[in-house]
Amino acid sequence: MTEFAPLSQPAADAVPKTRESAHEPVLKVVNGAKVYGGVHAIEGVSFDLFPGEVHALVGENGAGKSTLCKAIAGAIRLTSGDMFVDGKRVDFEQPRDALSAGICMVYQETSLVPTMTAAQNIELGNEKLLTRFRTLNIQAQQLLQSLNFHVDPATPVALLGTAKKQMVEIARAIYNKARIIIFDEPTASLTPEEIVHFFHLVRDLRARGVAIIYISHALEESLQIADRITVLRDGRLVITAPAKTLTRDALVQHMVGRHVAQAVYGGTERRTHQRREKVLTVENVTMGMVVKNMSFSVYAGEVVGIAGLIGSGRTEIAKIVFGALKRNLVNGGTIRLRGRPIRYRVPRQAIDDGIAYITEDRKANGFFETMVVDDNVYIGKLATRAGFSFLLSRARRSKLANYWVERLKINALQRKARIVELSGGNQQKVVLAKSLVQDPSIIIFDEPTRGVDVGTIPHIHAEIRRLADEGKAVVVISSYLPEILAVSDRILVARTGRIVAEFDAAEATQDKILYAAVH
Amino acid sequence: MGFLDHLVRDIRSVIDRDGEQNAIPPLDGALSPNDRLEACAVIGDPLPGLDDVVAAPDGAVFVSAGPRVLKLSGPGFANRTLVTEFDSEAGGLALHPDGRLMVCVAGQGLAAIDPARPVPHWLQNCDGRPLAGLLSVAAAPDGRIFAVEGSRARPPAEWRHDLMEKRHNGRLIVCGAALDGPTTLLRDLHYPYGIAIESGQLWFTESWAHRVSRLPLPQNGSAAPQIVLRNLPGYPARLHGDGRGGFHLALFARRTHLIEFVLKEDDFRTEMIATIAPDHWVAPAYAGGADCLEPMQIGGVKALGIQKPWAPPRSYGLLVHLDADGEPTSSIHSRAGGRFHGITAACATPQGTLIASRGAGCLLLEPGEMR
Repeated sequence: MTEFAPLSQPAADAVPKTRESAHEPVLKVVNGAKVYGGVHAIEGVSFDLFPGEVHALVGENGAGKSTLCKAIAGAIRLTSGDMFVDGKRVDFEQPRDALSAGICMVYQETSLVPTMTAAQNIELGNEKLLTRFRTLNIQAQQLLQSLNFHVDPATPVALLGTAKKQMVEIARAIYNKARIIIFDEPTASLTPEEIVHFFHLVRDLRARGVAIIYISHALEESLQIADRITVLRDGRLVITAPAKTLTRDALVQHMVGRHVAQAVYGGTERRTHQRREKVLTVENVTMGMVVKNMSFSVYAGEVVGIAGLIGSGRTEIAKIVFGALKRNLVNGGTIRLRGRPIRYRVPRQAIDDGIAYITEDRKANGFFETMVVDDNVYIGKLATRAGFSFLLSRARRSKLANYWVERLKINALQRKARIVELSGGNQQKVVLAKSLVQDPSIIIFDEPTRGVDVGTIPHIHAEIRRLADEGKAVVVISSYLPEILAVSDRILVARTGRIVAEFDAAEATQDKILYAAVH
Repeated sequence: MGFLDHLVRDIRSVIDRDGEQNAIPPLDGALSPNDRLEACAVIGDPLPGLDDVVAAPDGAVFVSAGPRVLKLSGPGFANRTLVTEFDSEAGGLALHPDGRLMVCVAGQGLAAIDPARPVPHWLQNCDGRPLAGLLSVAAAPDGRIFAVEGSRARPPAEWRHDLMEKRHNGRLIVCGAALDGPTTLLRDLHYPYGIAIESGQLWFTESWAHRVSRLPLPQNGSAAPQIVLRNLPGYPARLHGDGRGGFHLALFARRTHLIEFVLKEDDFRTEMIATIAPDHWVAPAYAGGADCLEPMQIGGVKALGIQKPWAPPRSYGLLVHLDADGEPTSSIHSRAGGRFHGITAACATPQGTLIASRGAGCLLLEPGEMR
């Protein structure tokens, strides 16, 4: 984990930071409750937020964090309870109402319009009758520069990476002059360096008196950046306390309601694996300026971690192997599957050859969000040559889904729910099931625990280890170094499209990996 | 290369898109780079032309260096005894079960040196052709002798010519314990360099094909090899058993993009062979960096006297340990800019692993076991 700068910035010290030193809460929720189909998503939650305060909300997936924040941001209405802004009772019917009250939410899965440029997205909802593109771009450029975000305002959002989309989303909140900003997993897609920038931005906002609600599964971040932390569990408030009085262990205990003996990272059993068959060899693969002469190999029964900053070509090489991207036609290098050169035109061929790629962007590419768990798992099976069938068997579908729901501990109560209604952790498990049902021999995980709660992460790590123990070749791409260190037998570091370093699990440290990634 | 040849090549590069990629397998996994060769102890004075090293049952070792064959014994192999000296370069060595030392001699054939007789016994022809390019020899437990000849057309000293002319006319031969009845077992091999016999299997390397193959010890003259390791990242040289069922595989040079590219450019190679001295060709080398006329040197590979991180290695030092199935388990390296390049052989001794660095002309001792 990157060491963030100390919080005691001079500017930040000048503003009220705690309940005692502030006068009135800018936002207050009293006994808030939201019921979906008879089930309480949140119940009796009271929450307050003071000007110039960073208030972290933590809890497992499904704890009610997002529900509470959506209610505050006007995306949903509370079933019961009261909400006050500046001491006045409010009842938002739509997000626009919350926005006009100065409340803006930056979503975990970005809500930008992909076909519009970054500048147009920033101004979305505030368009004037006549707007010159040039003026729009200049304004957006100034805003982005002031935030130290290197994003071209004239670029369509669809062409931006996840991190840059996140930056545009944050810039939009700043542009709307929000007094209360809700960040939902803001750092999940940022690199360590970008996280440092982001934290400077949060401190800046705090110094200006902006109140911030901060949702993150990275507990270290919450402890470092927040003034107060509220823990939710099963839709109920567990504790609200100043961050300095809490520790990481205490937070985890409050979140899961039991003592967690195993550390979330580094707790999986590490074994020395005897190297076996070389399953996948990537030789001098080149794709434009993104992947430059990248080489590595993966053996059966081992977990290879690929670390590196965003833009280092990690995701792209995975997609090239999977056939979702094409390497250069001439001098694009060679990829060998068990010694046989392969070049897939479409991912279907890779699936037939036993390669699975579990995407980092599950919302866009991971599942069919309007379908239920069973359908998604079954569709994964249908994608294989062996599983293809002209007739859809309901019994086969249920049998398959039952196995994977049991194996991955997907919340069975939500079997009939559409995927979009599931929590992030359960969504990710469905994405895993959809790929693992194909019985692949090579599995590439791209950011496997992004936006996944602390209680689910050990399950996913255990599954990764289990797959390797079954003799499968596993590749894990992650920006989060503790995760890479926890699950990998061998760690490769990518930088500017190349593999620049390789470490054994025993010798790898965060410092060594970061040094290789940036130098 | 005429216009039509170029056209056919271009069409082929589109149709067979993975055939012309100049791709080199990565050094990772068991082949991950390190600097362990640099940390090895140098045994005694330099041995110019050092080529092979084999262990004797009494703890001593025999080495071939230039035209001489030496016996090194005692603590730290400090005692050197001259076994014999030939008119030309001595190469591969092997100890026969009956105690004779078998030596491959460039341009002459296979010599069997009996400790009791001062004059070696020779095998100079096989199937009517002289054995001018023998590189390695091994003796089976039943007394038969197997040897590989890298090239029928070029002596061992002209191995670069053989590579650049893209020949593959090496052969594997077998003869009786008395060097009688020589027969060619396999022909048209891609520069077979090393040979070893372990657990009833005959293993051999092919440098230009970057592979290691094995076959059951042939009983009636027929042999069908099975490729064990293919697409190695370097040019395999000799292969010696480690005494525990595994092998020490020496790779005398590293494959590079540049050389792979040159090997596909026939016109360039023809002109290079005709006009440039072999030491300055774009070709693998046992050692490099000493001559300013070499390709890719000075500013191409160094900045302010420091080797650039991505400088292609003119030469490289690499020794790989294989398990009994031929899977690499560990490796030791001397990287670009290092001292001990051009590893041609290694053998296990009670004092550690002895490594022949032909590029540096010295014998190295790696005290740790490779497994």
